[in-house]
Amino acid sequence: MDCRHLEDLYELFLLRALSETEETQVLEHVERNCPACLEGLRHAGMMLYALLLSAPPVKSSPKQKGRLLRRLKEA
Amino acid sequence: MEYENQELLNRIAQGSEEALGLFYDRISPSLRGMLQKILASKKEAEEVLEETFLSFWKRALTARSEGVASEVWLVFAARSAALRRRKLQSEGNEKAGELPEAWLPRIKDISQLSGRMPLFTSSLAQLSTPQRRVLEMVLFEGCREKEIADALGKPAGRAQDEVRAALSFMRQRLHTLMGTWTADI
Ligand SMILES: [Zn+2]
Repeated sequence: MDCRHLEDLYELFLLRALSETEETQVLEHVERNCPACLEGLRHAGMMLYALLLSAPPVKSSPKQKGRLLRRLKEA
Repeated sequence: MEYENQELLNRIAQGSEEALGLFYDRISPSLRGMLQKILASKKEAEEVLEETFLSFWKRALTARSEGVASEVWLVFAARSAALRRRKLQSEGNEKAGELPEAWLPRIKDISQLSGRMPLFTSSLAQLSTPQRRVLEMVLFEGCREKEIADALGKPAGRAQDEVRAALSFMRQRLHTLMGTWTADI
């Protein structure tokens, strides 16, 4: 399958920022387990992971962590 | 003792609450930073952080995710939950932002990236101001390309070119920083 025309779309696909037409184009490949597109999505995911975590960090309070750990026990 | 993410994630999958706590200490400041950027309210950011960690915990106990970088799942799930809160991505159900296993990066790629993240993101400063703005809009405001054009009063093609040029620049930077580019595309 030729996927070169999709190379610029993987990040926007993962962010759900594409038009419906382009989203469908990528989805058609992905649903058929196109290896090149799946690889492209993984690389895109890696880049977005770094970009999304680039915002200035904000520390949570120990109280918040305590509440989460209590809720885990109940889950 | 300093654990690798992977070691912590393996222990989380075995039900270790201690490991989840350590992983929380490691990733929650940057995750919270992202959430605070999406949601203006501190309280809402805290709530989304907590809910996402709970979903992450439940998923970790059931999913068979060997070799898969689950921290990427966590970041996307948190983004998506925050955007739903902001009602900016109202379409799709709760699971819509959760990435299937097959789309997730591999552990080895994320470990390789980890040490280079500050250098990589410092390249954002090299983008033009309009490019940085549109990138922020897709990342943190959940805008589609069309919505960016409308919001900024730009022709659709122009907004699209700016977003894609910004992403393409960052992709090239990542490519260079990672040294080896294994994608066979
Ligand atoms: Zn393909």
